[in-house]
Amino acid sequence: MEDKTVTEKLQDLDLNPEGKTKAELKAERARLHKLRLEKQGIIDHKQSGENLDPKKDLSKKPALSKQERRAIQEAQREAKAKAKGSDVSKRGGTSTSTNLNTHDDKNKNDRIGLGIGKDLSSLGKLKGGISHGSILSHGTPEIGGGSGALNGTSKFPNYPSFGPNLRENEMLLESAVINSKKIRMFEHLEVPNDRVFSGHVIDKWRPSSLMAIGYDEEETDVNSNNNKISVPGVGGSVSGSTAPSTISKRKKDFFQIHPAIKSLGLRMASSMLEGSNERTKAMLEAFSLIIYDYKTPPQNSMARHLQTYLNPQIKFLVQQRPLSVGMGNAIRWLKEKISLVDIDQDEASTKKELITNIRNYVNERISAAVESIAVNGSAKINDGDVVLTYSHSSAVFRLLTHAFSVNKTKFSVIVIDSRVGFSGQKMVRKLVASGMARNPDVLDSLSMYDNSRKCSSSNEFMGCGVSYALITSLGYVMKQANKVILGAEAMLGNGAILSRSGTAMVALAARNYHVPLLVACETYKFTERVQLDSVVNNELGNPESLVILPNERNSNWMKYSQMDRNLNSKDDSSCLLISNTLNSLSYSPLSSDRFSAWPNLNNRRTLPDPTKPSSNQIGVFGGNNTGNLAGSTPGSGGPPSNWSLETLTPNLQILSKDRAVNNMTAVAASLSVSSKINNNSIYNKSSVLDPVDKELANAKWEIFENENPLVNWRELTNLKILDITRDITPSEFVSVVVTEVGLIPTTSISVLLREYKI
Amino acid sequence: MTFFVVVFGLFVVSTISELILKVHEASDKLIKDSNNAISMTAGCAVFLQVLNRLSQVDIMVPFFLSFFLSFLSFFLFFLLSTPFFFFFGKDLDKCRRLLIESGEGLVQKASQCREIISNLSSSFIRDNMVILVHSHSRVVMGALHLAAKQNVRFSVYITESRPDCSGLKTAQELQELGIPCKVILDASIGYIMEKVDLVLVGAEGVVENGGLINKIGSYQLALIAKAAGKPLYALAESYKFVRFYPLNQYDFSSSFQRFTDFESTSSDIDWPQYLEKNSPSVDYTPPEYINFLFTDLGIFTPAAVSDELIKFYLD
Repeated sequence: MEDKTVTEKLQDLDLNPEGKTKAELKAERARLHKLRLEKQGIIDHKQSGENLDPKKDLSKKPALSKQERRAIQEAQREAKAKAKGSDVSKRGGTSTSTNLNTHDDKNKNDRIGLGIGKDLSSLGKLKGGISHGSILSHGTPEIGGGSGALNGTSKFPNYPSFGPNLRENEMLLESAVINSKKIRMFEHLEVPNDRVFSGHVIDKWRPSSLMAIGYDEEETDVNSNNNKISVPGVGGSVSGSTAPSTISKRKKDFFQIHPAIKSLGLRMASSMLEGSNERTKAMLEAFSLIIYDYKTPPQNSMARHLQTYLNPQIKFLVQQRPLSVGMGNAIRWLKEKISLVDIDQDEASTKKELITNIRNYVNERISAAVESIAVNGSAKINDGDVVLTYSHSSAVFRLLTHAFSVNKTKFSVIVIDSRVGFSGQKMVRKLVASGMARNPDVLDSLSMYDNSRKCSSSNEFMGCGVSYALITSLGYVMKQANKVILGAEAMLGNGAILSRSGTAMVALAARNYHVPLLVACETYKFTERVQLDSVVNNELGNPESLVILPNERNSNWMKYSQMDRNLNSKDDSSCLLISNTLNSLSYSPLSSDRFSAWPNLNNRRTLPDPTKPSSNQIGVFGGNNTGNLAGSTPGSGGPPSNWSLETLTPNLQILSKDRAVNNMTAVAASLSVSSKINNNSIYNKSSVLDPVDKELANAKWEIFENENPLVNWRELTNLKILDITRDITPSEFVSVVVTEVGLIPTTSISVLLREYKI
Repeated sequence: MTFFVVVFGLFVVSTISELILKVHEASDKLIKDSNNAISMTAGCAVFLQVLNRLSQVDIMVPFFLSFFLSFLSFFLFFLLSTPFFFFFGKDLDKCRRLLIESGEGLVQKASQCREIISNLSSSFIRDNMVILVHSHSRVVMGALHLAAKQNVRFSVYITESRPDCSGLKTAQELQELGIPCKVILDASIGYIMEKVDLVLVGAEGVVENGGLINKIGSYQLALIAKAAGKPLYALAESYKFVRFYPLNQYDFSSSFQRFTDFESTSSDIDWPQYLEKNSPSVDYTPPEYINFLFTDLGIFTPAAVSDELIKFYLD
């Protein structure tokens, strides 16, 4: 009870003193900012234009009547209290709640709930009359007050209906929810350890930046508020003492964030932009845009002020997704460059100098580095080699294509892939597009009779080919490989590789079979940091993505909700789309059929049959969930073949049976059934177009639950699910590191760092 | 190496880049023709690096100066048809002289290197030790010689090291020095290893990860020594360090590996008729089987080789 009064005070402090005028000003500013964003072409016009109107309604209407505003707050508080009560009663002694409740600072304690409550309530507000709140599926008991806040909005009767804008708004919201799930990399250094492994961390889910960009100016409050208090162990006391002033300051900071950075942050958070090199390039590009647009405030020198201007931008990026080591190095380099700028130098020339420097950095340290890695590394690939690689890496891809197209080496590639990202499929697609999977006959006629090169191994006829296997079949596939080439996110000071999780497994298997392991890594990714295992420091993924099987994941709950609408409007176009997807998912379950795509793997002595039409040589091993790959074959069409946001984003959560049944239409369930049985005859359109039957949906939910027994994992207090995205490969597994300065052993990384300050 | 420097003195060139090109050509030819390709590669690379560095540091300063002067001279003596060449030639002479000096320095250093290595390694050879030596190596001979001169009493097993039986040459030299020695068959290394306290090998080349490229049989010797827990020391001059990174035995470029003919010792089978008798002449010993490398720069772990190479070639 006391908590509430404190909150009230805080609220009053924050909102009341200057009243409406201030709020209106803020709203105005938010809208201006959004317009500016549009100008930058970040949000496309249709979408943002339509969103602008509801936003106006949103930001102005609450500001008009104070009572209504009060009502909302009241509702939030209630909800929060309810949720807290249920939370504590439900999972009495679990880590999260104890952490929260035993903390001295009641103030802060309260604001955690408040922040999230508000956060979600705003979502709810936006959501409004759209549909059944399917998006808000993370309104669990754990996440305080989410559902309560939803109820709160029902006290707000004059809510405008969105009408035709429904779809766009929902899309935005969806991505907002996705963004909110991104987790900071070093978070578990800041919070007590047990919180990391429990999926129940409340404040782990970041508030979306999309929300912050422009719906409701209150969001920015919540946003900054939430960020600050997300570190209860460390930052608590600070935030508790100087609450209102810092909030307003942070809000100010937020509006200074450059649109280029915002768009970059969103792209990174939504996994549209992946890969250390790509991210670093994009980040530096954004920075040069910032510097270009930068105007030195009066009585400030650029050299001094630019640094402080950049810091919030970087912070924003970190919030969206933790920076990779390469990005950190690039930022450090840029800051050093800025600090070296002469104070008296005029703005134009400083800008020019810095932008040129950035461009040079991108060219020399990233682009040219990748090229010379390709040259250095491809010399190690000989005719007849079978190169195994894991997941996607731009450097490895360049290396392989260089060996293939410039050196004209005849070798084959096995791409190993794993959940959750399945980025190996991207690699396969790129390799196939580059012609690696061409018919070996064509290749033979190109270079087989070239006497200058002799095949090192006996299987001279081994043509080029790309095969794809999941990491579960590593033990079998590794026997056939004679080189393993991996990419790295960073090389640590002790020679260990920091890379996508699964790399260590591949390295271990390579070691076991005595296959030399090459690691392609640009020197800008070298770091002096040392890390003994991958638990001390890691980037956490969304645990939800481990829970639901890839079949469901690929067909994506977002689509279900879309389909729901389509069903109601009797529009079956998207149903057709899904049926295409399903068709493309189905492939022969007989392993022999799949292996025959590549005779060499089936039987090393078998020569490729020239009469066989083997234009697209992709062997698919042992995976029963390779939906996206199947989509890659030309002509199959369907949504998974393009790497859109939907296919890459983690699906939304399903947290309770009731809600799921509401959300999940008969279509969704029948999808899962049919994909499980892998028989398309079960799936027909008539079942799709059946009206949603509650009974049926319940039954199908059970099937779904059977397939995904962990769907309710959040309700099981002692079940923890951890999705770590990086791992550490010890240096002794690595035969050689391919860098732009040559091939070096892992022991020399520290020397390069020390001697050359790379 | 000496030959190389002498040949170098005979080049007639008019620009520095032409000089560098010629040196490259010459070194390629040398590597191709020599029967010890890996150490020749290493030596030539050292020389080329010296040349590069000289042309960047020592030459460029007088070069620009002379450029300036030649402009002056162009106005003063415009009757001279080639004022540029006049100064260029002068510079190149200087460059060539410097290079020849440094080349000769390298050659001289080579013999000093062996002395330094002998001094370093002789303290590891103590009384009553049994030492296993592979093939023939001047550095190893130098080390054993010095130890014997210091009145250390030790005995040596020498592998025969077919196909060229260079172990016999070692045995002969050791007998002349009065060191007790025995020649064993290559096949009996495993049998003898239990008695041995120390394994010494030379090297044709030391590759970037600290591994060795050496006479065929070194790898199996190292494997057995590792399995038996006996220390294996490699003795190599630092100019044998080469920027080359083999991943496995078959990762040599074709110029490094040579296949040799060998004769059968048993006479009752007429085997050359139907059997191929090609044997590789060198193999690659990975760094994990080497305890220490004794070089003129000091005693290294294999990992330190790469550090030295990086320092030398990346500056």
